[in-house]
This record gives sequence, C-alpha cells and structure tokens, in this order.
Amino acid sequence: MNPVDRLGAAVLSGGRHVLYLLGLVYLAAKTTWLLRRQGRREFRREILLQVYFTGVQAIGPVVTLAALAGTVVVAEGLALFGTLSGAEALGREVTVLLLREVGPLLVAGVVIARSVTAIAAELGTMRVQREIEALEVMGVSPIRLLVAPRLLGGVMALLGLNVVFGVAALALGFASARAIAAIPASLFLSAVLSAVSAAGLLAVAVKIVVGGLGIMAIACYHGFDVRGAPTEVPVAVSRAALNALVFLVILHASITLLAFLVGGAPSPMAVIR
Amino acid sequence: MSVAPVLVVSGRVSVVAEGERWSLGPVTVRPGDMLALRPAADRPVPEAALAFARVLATLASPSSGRVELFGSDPAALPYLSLQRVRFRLALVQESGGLLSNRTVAENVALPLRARGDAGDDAVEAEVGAVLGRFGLSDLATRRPHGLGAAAAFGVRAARALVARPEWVVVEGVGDWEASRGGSRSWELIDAAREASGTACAVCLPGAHSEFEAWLAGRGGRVETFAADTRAPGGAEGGRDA
Repeated sequence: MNPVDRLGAAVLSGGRHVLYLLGLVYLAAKTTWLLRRQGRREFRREILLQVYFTGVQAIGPVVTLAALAGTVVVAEGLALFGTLSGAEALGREVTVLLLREVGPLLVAGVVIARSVTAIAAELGTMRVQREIEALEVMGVSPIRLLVAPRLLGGVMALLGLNVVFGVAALALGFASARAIAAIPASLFLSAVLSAVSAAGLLAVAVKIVVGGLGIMAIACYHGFDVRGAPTEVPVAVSRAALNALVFLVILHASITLLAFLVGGAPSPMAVIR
Repeated sequence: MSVAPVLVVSGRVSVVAEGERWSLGPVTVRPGDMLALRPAADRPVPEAALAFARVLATLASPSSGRVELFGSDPAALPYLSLQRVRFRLALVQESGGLLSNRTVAENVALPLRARGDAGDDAVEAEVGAVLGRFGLSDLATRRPHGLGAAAAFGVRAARALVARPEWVVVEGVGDWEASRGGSRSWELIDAAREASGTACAVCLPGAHSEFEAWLAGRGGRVETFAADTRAPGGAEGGRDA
C-alpha cells in the first residue's frame, strides 16, 4: 500500500471510530430517555458508583498534582514577572494556565489513567465472561445500565475534580507565592478573578463536558469491542488509554485555538506578553 | 381451545458453528413442554449447541430459517418489543454470566430490579424465597468468583426463575449429579414447569442418556440437529440479534 492509500485508510478508520463514538453517545442518551422508568434504582446506583470510583477516589492524586502544578506555575511566574509588581500578571497567569489549560488536561489525564483503563478492562471482562449477554437476555439494556451511567458519572466526576483541582491549585499556588515573596492576598485574588471571563468559563466547560463524554465513550467502546478472548482485554485497555489521550489533546488544542481566534479568551501567551 | 405455542421453528433453521452448518426443525414448543436439543452426530458439538441456545434465547438470529417466539420473529422486532419478549424468557448459561461486581443476592434480584416493577421489600422477599428453595441462602452475600461450578449454576438457575419466565433455555445439564440422577436446580426447573407452565429447552452438546431418561420420565422429548451438507454461510453461530 502506498503512503497516500495508507493515509486515506487511516483517515477513514479514524472517521469510522468517531462515528461509532457519536453513535454510542446517542444510543446512551436515547436508551436513557426511552427506558427512563425501568430500573431507576440500578441506574442511580451505577451513576453513584461511577462518581465514587472516578471522582472521590481520584481526589488524592488530583490534589497532589494541583499542588505541584500550582507551585511550578507560581515559581515560574515569579521568575518571569518579578515579585510585588508582578502580582497581577501572576494571578492572571495562574488563572489562564492552571485553571483553563493545565487543570482540565491534568485532571482528564488522571481520569484516563485510573478510570478509562478500568472501564475498558471491566467491560471487556464482562464481555468475555458473558455478563453482557446475560443482561441482554434479561431485557436489560447494557447501553443503559453500563454505558449511560459511566458517561454521566464520568462527566459529573470530572466537573467535581476540576473544582477540587482549581481550589487546591489556587490555595497551594498562593501559599507558595507567599512563601517565596510577600504577595498580598487581596491583589493576587483580585487578579485571579479579573482573569475569569464568560468565554473562558465556557471554554473550560466544553473541555470538561465534551472531553469527559469523549474519553468515557472511548473506554466503553473499546470494552464492548472485546469479542470473547481474554487476551483481547489488555489490547482494549491500551487502545482505550491511547485513543482517549489523543482525543483529549486534540479537543483541548482545538478549543484553545478557537477561543484564541475568536478572541473571547486570552491565551497564556497573551498574558505573558 | 388450543394453547398458543411458545416457540415455533417452521421449516428448518440453521446455524453455523466452527465452520460447519447445523440445522434443526421443524419444532413446536407449547407451555409446559420440556425438550432437549442435541446433535444427531455421535461426537459432541458444544459450539453448535451454544449457537442454538443463543438463537432460542433471542441473542442471535439463525443463519437461515425462521424462529418465532410468542408469535413473533425476535429478529424483526424493534428494541422495546424485543425487550418485552425477553422479559418473558430466561437463559441459564453454562458458564460465566453472573455479574462479578454483585453479590449472589444482587445477581438474583437483577431481573426484578432492572424491570422496576417491584418495590425493594417485595424484591428482597422474592429473592430470599428463591435462594432458600435453591439452598443458596448461605451464599447470598458472596461474590460469584467465590462459588463452585454447581453453586454458580444454581445461582444462574435461580436468577432465571425469579421473574417467573414462560420460556427457559438452558445451556447444558449444569449441576446434574449422576449419582443422584438429578439435582436441586433441575427439580426446581421441573417444578416451575408443572406449577406455571414454564416451557424449557436444554441445549446439550452431545447425547446424555441419564438426563434424557430423566426428561422422558417427565414427559419431555429430545429433538436433534444435524450437520447440513450445504455450504456454510452467514455469521458464526448465527447473526447477532
């Protein structure tokens, strides 16, 4: 196969995957609506479990990353902008870099490492052990019982984790700033708040919600794609993790670029300049 | 007045397993009927038995021919109608099938809870009663991976019967004890047949003289499927429904 054919095949394959993922999200929404009166308790239980596994259990790693990222960004900011005179620029840098760019990406990275892999492995194993077949024959929709709660619970967990990351990064970043230089709290906080814009919040919300739906759908898709051999499970796990990471980076880059082009949200470079 | 059949295989239906085509039929099953499906061949063919079990449980369509369950072809039904058909049947799998992240009691309760038509107390009472009948009360809080093969089959049978299905498909003889000439699960499946007219098909990978004798003693019958000499076609094990 020549390189052009290979490229074409890769594009077609990628397009097919995107269509499958969109189809999975659509099916999850449709079955959730159509079967809304069936097994509500089981549905709620699955959502809560997903929020617990993806959100609550990830608080430790997320706070640790927030502390490290906050310290690094503040230290770099102080070196770049100076101390007292640079407090406002530092606050804006923290907001834009940490909360809008690095935070959602790092949090989603933690979720990929912990939950996307776990979901792909769990669903793959359920396929191998014929658990999904058992659900189908019971009249229980696996899309509604297994996929929809993971999509919903995953997005809810990501929203919560981003709030945790933001609070921890700001608090620990400011603590680092205080330790390094005498930055007044009021100046720092007002600079952080002044950098918050509606367009910026919208960009972050899209990154979290679309990113969360996307990576969870990728996890479910690869889990369900296991056909029956146990050896397919590790392959599904690694594909899910890699594809989720690629999707996430493409999504974040696209949204940041779009926000920059539209001009509603300042980019990190604009802050530094 | 004649009773409407549960299952009608008009003409011959075929499935493809391990590259070979196997065909069965015609077969009619009425409420209270019990039949075993097994290969006419001398050698066991578990893949073909499994493929027919999947077809009879609406999980797959045959490669050719038509199967009607409760008067309609499951392959032609939209999802909600297919779901209503599935609420009336149960499959007892030979292996796997129990949700590993749930306890035995939660597994047995799943068909009732997922349909959402019974309160918590009613579900717990029903599950407790079924587990008691199957002698599984002590295992109620255990996870499936901690169960032996016979106990796991008992749990699968309990889960199948808890919602009082009209049609039960069983893969293999499960916890059949040769020394006893039966098992508690099979006695309870037979009791459900007598009490509520549950029809049952057991898909056997090969001949099983003891089980077939037990079945004959209860008015059951054996139907055989045979290798089809036509060229194989269609998806392995039938098309997914």
